Amino acid sequence: MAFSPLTAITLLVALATVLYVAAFVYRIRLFWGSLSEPAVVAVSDEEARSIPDDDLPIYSILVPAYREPEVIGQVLYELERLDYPKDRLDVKLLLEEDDAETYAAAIRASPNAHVEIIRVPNGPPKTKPKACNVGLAQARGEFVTIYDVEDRPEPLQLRRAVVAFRRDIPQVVCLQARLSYYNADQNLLTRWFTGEYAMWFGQMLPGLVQRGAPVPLGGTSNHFRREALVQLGGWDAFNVTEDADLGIRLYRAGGRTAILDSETLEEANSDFVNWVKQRSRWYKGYLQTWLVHMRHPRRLWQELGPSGFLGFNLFVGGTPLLALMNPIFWALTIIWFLVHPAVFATLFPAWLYYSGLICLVVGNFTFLYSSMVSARLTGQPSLVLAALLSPVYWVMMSVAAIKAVAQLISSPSFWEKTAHGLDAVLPGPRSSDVPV
Amino acid sequence: MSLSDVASRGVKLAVPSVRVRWRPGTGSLVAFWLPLALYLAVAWLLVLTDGYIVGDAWSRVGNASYVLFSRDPHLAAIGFVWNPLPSLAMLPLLPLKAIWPPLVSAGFAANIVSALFMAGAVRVVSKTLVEAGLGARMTGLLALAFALHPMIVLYAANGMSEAPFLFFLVLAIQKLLAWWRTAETIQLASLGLALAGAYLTRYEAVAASLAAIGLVAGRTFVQHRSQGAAAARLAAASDALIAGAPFLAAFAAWALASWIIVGSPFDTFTSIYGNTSQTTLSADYIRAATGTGFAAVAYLVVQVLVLAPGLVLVGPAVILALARGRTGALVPIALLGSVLAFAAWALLTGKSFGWLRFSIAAVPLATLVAGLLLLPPRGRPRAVRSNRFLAWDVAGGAALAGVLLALPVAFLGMTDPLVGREEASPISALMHPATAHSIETTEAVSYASNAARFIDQLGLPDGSVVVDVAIGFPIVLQSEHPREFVITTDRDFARTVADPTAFGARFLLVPSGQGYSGLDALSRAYPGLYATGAGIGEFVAQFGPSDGAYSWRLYALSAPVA
Repeated sequence: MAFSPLTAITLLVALATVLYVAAFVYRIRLFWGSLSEPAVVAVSDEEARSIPDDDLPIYSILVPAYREPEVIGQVLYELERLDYPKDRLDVKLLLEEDDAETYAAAIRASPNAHVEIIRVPNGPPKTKPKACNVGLAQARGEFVTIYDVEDRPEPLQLRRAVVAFRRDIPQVVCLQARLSYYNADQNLLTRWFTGEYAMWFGQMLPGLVQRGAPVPLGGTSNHFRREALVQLGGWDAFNVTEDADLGIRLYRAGGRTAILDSETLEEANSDFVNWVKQRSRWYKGYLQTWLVHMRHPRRLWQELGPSGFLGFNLFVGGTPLLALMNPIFWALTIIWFLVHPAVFATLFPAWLYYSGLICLVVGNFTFLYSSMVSARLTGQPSLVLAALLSPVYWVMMSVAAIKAVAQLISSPSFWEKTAHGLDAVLPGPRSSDVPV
Repeated sequence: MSLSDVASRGVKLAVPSVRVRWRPGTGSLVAFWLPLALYLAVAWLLVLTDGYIVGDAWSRVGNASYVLFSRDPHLAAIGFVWNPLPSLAMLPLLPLKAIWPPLVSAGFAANIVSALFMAGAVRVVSKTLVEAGLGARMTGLLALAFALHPMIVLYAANGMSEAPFLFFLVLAIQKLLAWWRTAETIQLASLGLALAGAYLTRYEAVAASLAAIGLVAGRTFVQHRSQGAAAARLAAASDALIAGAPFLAAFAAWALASWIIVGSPFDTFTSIYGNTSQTTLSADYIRAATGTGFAAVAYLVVQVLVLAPGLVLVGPAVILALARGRTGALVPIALLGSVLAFAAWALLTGKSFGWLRFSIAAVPLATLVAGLLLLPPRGRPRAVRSNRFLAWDVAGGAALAGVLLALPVAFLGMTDPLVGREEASPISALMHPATAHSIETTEAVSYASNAARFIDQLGLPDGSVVVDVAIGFPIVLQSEHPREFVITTDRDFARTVADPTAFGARFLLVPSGQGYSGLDALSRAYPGLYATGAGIGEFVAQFGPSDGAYSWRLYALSAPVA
């Protein structure tokens, strides 16, 4: 049977519409589900503080850094602020062998005894997950977590995680703390980014937990039972979103992730080019993760179950794919409004036209509105007003998605490094003036 | 080999697994299913036993039906004169007409939809009262009085858009009151969606939406005042946006769709079939019924008090509630009061028929105000009776009496043909099914039915008979072959009217031209068509007496030039 090119395009558009509707419905369910019934593990301050120091386990903290001498002191300062007995902390500062300047800065900061500097052997792939694997091999803690150098974890986070783990929620081997940004009000981009994170960690990931779907982990502040993490084999050193991939592997192996009600503040990317680089790495990583796990769709289906399989495809695969498809459909809409080309009547039979139209109107509004609602939940009104303009942010996402696909083909494991320290004011001391 | 293969190689973590069991909701549905059964039973008597079909409700079924079953099925056929939600809600029911034709041929889909929405409104009213802290027995009594109010029963049964409109209004009140108590964002978002639903049902929702948005902004501003005016303004604006965005989006999307498809953003004000056109045409009739100026105000007050005599207490109720720190009382008063105020404004400026149903918001208003007055005042110790709270008890008792008194008073008022201009006749149909009533309806339905059967028997191909369904919907909806008609919503209607034979039409179906039927597109295109055939048609048949207000004539066009 021969298809005319037009029929083929119509079929493609129909397929895209089905994907849109599915992703749209799925996200609404995640969003509304977690709004009406918060699916986070909450530990009160009192409960967190109530565990006597003697009763706390050794906690390993992995801090990978590369060419970041200017912020290394910052992270040491933040780790000192953690409300956890120092003799039970096992901090591994993971520095690349060829990164002399960061090493020098770390030595200058003369960290305490519980901080161990590990030089990661030179050689490909030079990625954060490889460094983490090196750290994990030497970690001593019952639990292990990761912080980036620019992170500001909430001081009670480790204690909360211990209480939460000891509640023995069935199958839970990983707790993901919420990530947010301390420089939300730096500019419009950081407001958008903060609003986006608020929805991601506040509603989307809890929603996935609720629906029994695998949770793609965030880059930092994920806490593991070390034994389980070792059993899983640590991180995939070749995946550029090793965190997301780990979340899926963990689920396939029968483990579960819960969202911990505790916040780690990071630095939001405030620069457009830098933001696109970071986002394109994330999208590339999501695509990698999706492709890796979909190599054997049947086995994946068996291991994730129907709900998990659906969630994985719509969320991990769908996120970059939708960002990639959006510009095509925006362009089609604009062309249709401006010139009303006759060929569209052939391309879009009535049923497809109406599904597309509903998707366009209801879908765009719902995404816009849920970002506003999510921003409102942060208690920062300026984020709500910024969320009104989020369609511009969506365009930026599409730019990143296109770059991600190009790079996935040309250099799949290249790590697009994000520059830190672009925010104007930092409350804590930096590099050399760390308290001893 | 990458480490991700570890999982694929079948690593299993030593963790016990659990099955999550599904738990059904435990909320009682008595406040929904019993009223629904009552409303459907009344609808059955009204429509299927007494043959009393409300034209407006039936024409909404038509709008939904053209989307699916016309010669040119498309979503825009839903029309832009009336807001689309009632017709959209009927769409899922319509395919069942294959099993049970009265869904369309008697418009019963509309009655099912209104009964569902009104039963939903009863449920929401009772939930609102419970959430506000009213005891189970008092809530039950008030909800029952609301569910059995004759105006509520009639508009639950008759298929009109009052039912969905009230549903969304009380839902908005429930959510706004919940936000008032809890400050939860989800309540604010639910409020926003309810307001959008109200707007997609009726234009009057603009008033309620603005009132709700104003209340939200005001309350947030007051609560954030201590942080400085600028911060308070920002917080107020962000909350107002959450509460208002869905309504604004619905408003904009509906206007934009209308503008793109029919070339006018607000068709009910500009279309020849719209409200403005109808009220202009009926100005004399309206003035005779309602009076103007002061008389019209008095007419409205009578309407409101007939439906809710307890509302004389609304003034003292507000003062008492505010004095007792129950600022939430402002919520129903602002949302439903603004709808009543909008109705008053529309009547006084000649934009409204001043029907009793435009004051239906008074019914839930009286119920909710009574409920809030019956709550024990803040800070009152249990079982303490003192003069300090006497005023409160008196007000609560009076409000409750008012709600109960409304049942007989409203019934009497609705049977009075001057007050219940639309209600008296269906009530008499329900009360005295044997006697002749509502001659207009019966005539309109039966002439149209004759026309439909006659045309069906001709065995015509698709698109043979041109008819303007703004008036002729009863014919098309009673036909077994609706595709034989070229109707107003078909995208080739205008050009077919202009040159019928060129586009394959063989007959023109034209109303007598009395009343609204003067708006008929064929009569406007070919003056004198009904009387003489206007030189293009040859008389075939007539349905009803030649000078009847609801009569139709069928004219044959000369054969198209080959």
